Amino acid sequence: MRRGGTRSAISSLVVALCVLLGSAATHPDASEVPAEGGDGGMTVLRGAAEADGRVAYTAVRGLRGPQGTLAVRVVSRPGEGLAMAPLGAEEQPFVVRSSSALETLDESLLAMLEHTYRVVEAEPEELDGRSAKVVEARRADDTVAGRFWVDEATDLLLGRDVYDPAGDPSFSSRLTELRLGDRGWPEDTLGDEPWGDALDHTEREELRSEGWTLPEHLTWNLRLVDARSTHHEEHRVVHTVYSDGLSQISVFAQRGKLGEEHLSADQNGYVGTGTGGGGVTTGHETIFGGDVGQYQSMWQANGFVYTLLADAPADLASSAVTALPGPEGSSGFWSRVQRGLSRLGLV
Amino acid sequence: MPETGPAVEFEAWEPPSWEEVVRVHSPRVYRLAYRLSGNKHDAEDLTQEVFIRVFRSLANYTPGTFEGWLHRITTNLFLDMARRKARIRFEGLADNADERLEGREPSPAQRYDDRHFDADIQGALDALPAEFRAPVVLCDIEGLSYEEIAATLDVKLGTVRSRIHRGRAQLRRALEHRRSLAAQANANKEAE
Amino acid sequence: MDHLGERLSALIDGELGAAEHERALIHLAKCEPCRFEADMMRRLKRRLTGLGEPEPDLDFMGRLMARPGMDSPFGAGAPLGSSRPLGGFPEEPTRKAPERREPRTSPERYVPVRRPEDGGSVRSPYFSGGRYAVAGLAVATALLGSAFVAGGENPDNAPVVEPRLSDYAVEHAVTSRQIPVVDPATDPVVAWPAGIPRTSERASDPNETTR
Repeated sequence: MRRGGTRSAISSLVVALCVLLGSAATHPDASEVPAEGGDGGMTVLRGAAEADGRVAYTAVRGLRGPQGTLAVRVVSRPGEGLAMAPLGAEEQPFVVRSSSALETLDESLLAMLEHTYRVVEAEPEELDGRSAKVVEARRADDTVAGRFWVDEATDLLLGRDVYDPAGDPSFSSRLTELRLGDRGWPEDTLGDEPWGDALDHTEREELRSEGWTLPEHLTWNLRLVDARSTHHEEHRVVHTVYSDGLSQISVFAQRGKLGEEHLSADQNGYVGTGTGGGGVTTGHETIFGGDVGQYQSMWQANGFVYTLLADAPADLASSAVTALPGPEGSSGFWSRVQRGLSRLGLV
Repeated sequence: MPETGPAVEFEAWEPPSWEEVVRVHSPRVYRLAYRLSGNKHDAEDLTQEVFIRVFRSLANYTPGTFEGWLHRITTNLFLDMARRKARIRFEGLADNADERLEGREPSPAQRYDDRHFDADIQGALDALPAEFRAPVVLCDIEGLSYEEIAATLDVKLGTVRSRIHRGRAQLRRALEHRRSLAAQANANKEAE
Repeated sequence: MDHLGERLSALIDGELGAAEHERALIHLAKCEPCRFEADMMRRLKRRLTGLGEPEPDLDFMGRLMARPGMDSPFGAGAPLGSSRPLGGFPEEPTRKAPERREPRTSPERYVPVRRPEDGGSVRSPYFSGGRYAVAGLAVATALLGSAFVAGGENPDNAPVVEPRLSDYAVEHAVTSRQIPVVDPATDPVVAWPAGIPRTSERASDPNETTR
């Protein structure tokens, strides 16, 4: 039915307007929200979101960030989900199942983009041999924060860049080798979808009154776009997503404290906690950061433990960390945040 | 038993007591949990978690769809559980396996199948990936309509239909597989 | 002639619209393989419908009635119900740890008790090796204080928790949909796809960017 994919080399990408940067502004004007002016480009982006829910495709998604590049095979089967596997690891696809939760999130992300930036359509360009509509997200000072390429023929999102305030791309994503059809769909792979327990406004209010810190916005360009929770061993964990419409930052909060041992901050890019939060280990609940890199941080404050995960530029991620409750009695925390970032020359 | 203290007054609706809810609904929740998870321990864990959830949100609950609500909580908790468990790979299920037509006449073995034990079919159910198992269980065991299943699982109607169909196709294959294994075991025994 | 495919299931479930139902019946009348399939499908459905109804143990019912699990989820500070009344349940959840049932034999538990020595047994499905990687690219690998302890706040009240990073990573990957979470055993090829220039029109390494 849905497969019968033609071979045309159409590019596309998922709706996910997520992982791009939205560099914190250095320029005072840049942070004005909303950026004044029309948002004529939104129609194009909404068209891309709609196409993503309609068109089955197979492609290679190239990602590039400051630390390197990664090629991911993606297969999108509308109504079922999106399968991703790093090239060379196809036998272990990671499947994100379609869900109304993600549709809602995508709408929030688009709304957030529209809210934060001026979204304009620019001159069309060729990308990988295909003609593409170009949409730019501009800050209030008219610098470009993000750029999208939307395929003329299919409306699929072919690529996007996120730029730092200096105008340099800090994150790029491109679709190549695109074919229509989902022939490579991993039929029997169990998929994942977001935690099922979405927290609406009332429920968030209730949690706040119970002592949870769940800000509606963290910084000028980071607002809450999604909140949901699950239970681990009967303890609630709340997942909040903050975004400027370009990048996504996940904050996980739970009641409790970490183990007694003090963990060293820097393990050459590896991060993780051992049992009870004791010690950075490589074999236990460890996320390997090193060559793959995802911004992550974990700390405790006021009886809660916060874990932050982000595929976002360091400055954006750190502004998120800074906006959350900081650990008391750990005066070194913020300096460590700063130090970590200054190594990258971002602060 | 904990005592049920004086109820706080709610203008519109007063939630029932824990005991009441558990007594009335636990057999149903447990049955669903059991068919989904396939074993007693998980079914108990799930059932317990369901009632904890129910009570956490009871104050927000609007009367009218209690059973649908229980279905939804149970199923979603199960899926939560399942998707964090080991990936289940269904060996050798080709792309169009569900559409392939195998065999033409019900064999004697297939007829025999109909009288076979619960354990057999539960075993086959257990082998089914959770995302297929849930709609099949909700449809065939709980008797929900596709529409209700779609609402419970938060997926589109077409997805329900396709998952039920593919789920059943896989179930049949699994049952056939089990049957042929059993037949082989019998043959071996006789050969001895 | 196309066979009925998944319409077969919808047919025996009575979930086809009138017109489609009619068409399906016409097809069935002249398609032996589909009749066979329908027959098998009905048998299967009957068997499922006819499954016995498992009864919860009395023992379990007793524990359930005693409201298990209404205890520990809320550590220090604000127990459930402190901010809003739970109608009919004014009593505070008890705080003491529940009697755990006998240890499970299954390695994967729904509500697992984590122990250091079984660190690999209860994690998320993708990480059979007992750990996992976020396959991705470093936008920033700066590691900022991975985890540490703050002093001075009723350490006795808050339970010690170990955030399940693997679950969080999966959840984050699911909502951000950019970078898959994979088993590190499968070494991903880190490569920029052919045909795409490695340097963009404005390329420069953000690492070197300063303000």
